[in-house]
Amino acid sequence: MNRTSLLATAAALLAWAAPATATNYSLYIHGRTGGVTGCGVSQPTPTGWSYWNGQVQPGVNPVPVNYDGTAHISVANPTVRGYLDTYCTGGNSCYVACHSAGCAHLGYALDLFGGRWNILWIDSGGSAEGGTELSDYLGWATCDALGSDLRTGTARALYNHNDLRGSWSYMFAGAKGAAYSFILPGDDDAVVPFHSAGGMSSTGRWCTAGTWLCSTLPGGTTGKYGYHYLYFRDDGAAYDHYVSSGIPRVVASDMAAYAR
Amino acid sequence: MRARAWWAAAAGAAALATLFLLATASGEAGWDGAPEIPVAAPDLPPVPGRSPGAREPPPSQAAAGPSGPREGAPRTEAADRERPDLDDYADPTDLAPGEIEARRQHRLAQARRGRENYAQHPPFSRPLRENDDLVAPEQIAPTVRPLSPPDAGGPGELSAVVRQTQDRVFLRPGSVATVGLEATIGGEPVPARVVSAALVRWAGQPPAASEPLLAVSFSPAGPLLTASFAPPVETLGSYTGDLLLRVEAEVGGERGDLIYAFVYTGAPPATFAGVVRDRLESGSVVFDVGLEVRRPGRYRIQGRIDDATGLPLALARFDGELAAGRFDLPLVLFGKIVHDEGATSPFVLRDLEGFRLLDGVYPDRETLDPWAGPYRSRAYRPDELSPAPWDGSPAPAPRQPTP
Repeated sequence: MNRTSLLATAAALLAWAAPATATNYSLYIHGRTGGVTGCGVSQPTPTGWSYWNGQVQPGVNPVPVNYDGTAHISVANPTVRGYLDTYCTGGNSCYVACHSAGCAHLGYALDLFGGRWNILWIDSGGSAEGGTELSDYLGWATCDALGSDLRTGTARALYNHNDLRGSWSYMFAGAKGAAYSFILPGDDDAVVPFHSAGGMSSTGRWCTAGTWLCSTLPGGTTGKYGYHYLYFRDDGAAYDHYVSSGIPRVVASDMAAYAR
Repeated sequence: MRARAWWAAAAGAAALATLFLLATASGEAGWDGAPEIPVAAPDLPPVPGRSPGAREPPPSQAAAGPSGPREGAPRTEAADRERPDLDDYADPTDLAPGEIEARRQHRLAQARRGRENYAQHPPFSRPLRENDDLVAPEQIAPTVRPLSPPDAGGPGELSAVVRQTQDRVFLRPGSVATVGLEATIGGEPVPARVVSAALVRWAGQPPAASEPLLAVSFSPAGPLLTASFAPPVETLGSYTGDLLLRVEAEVGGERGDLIYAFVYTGAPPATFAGVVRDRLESGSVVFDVGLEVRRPGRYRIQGRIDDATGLPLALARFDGELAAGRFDLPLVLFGKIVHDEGATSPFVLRDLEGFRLLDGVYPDRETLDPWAGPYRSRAYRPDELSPAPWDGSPAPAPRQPTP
């Protein structure tokens, strides 16, 4: 076999082999790790699947994206981007499931540092990217730095939320509020109001279908940030914010079905 | 939570108000007997620029001409959705394997089309149509909340609701912030009184407030209470980070604590020097923006571009490293946006804003004093501008003008 033939054979082998090296991953970006109604936090940076109650989450090649969930978004974001660089570049692609403040982390990364990651789509459960009025009311901001980032005005001014670089974010909005939910406008999942979890491009009072004297959180892309799509509105008020009992379960079900 | 007791009680006492609210509710909750949209609704008709929840444009634009993206043309990404049967939510556990696979393939196709649609325009020149919260600068969404929780002494069912506004989040030496406060009880406007208001630093881990840096006075402005203040530069010294305006307010005998949050980003690292010229390059209009850089680093600079009628067209952006010195920074109005929107020249670079990005620290930026503009381009014929999609070419490079 002469040199030209060898090169041609090598090129053909490479071309054949390249797709085999492409791998899809399912990245799970957790939310704030500080307490909801208090400041207690035993583990600012989760390990393994600890944020997800120790359960490996569904989807192809699932990876927990663990960062300091008490730090400012800008401070912890390099860690999040490190995962994206590891799993979502070159021939590899990612499905991303984010929860709560994890969705703000992803949006921040995509807007300010994006363009180099292959993200197939995003499942956003209880997204706190639009902030939550609880940030002030329950004293989150006195607990940790991330809590102060999640004030509604601050969270929405932090980056361009429309700039998902063409990746669709499927929004999952839970509606099982809590006793203190009167603090939040419209419906909420006990932590994040619909205006944030639904991807609305402004604050406001939005509710489940049929709520008296309250506009229904609109479906699809209406009123949303760019490339945000309301996929699940919890009209049965069955899901709160929490991993064990809430909207992350709906996201997990979606990831199990489609993130393959 | 579903209908709040305090809200329902207030509304139930006012039938006329009820009718009004019903009439102003979104279309899905309308009173024409139309069915509610399902849990995950199909996309509504093409988004004609403004949509529920979208902000109103600034009055200056409204006076100058069309106030939002042209009616009729959908937001680029919204046009993707053509299979509501597959885009609707369905519990995967209720679906047969074949249905799941069909939905999976559809979602992957949507992902592909989303990226393709996004790539019609370069990242450095995006349609303002897909950035409707950014049509005007510094649009900070208001915060609406009860003044105090019932267990803090409020009267419960009819507790006061306050609406807080602020015109910016990021502060620099010389910038002046304006905040607003209004209140309702049972949906009816009522006077609010500010008992005390003081600016504090908010720093540390866990964060804690400093001694008051500045007392701030509110004064009535119609139904609002407003206050303006500038950060106390000498007191702040080299500090950068959170500044909180902490307010104790009283409404109808009920008291509560409010916070207006700001981020002090210190002295600007660079200064705008206006727009030097506009020119044609590769079928797009380029505005060369003068920038005097004092601190080198990664900069994000963006400007809003309108057409001759005031139609918001594009968010043009520079995102890159700059050394110290004077630069002509190219901001691009991508030719295809002009054609997509049916826009007419001359084009107006309405304003400029930006910051030096500091990665991995807080605050993550040093903001520049914005440039208020406007700058009006020369007239361009439509055939001078390319209707072609972006071919992946990088943004024009900044240039250092020769002396």
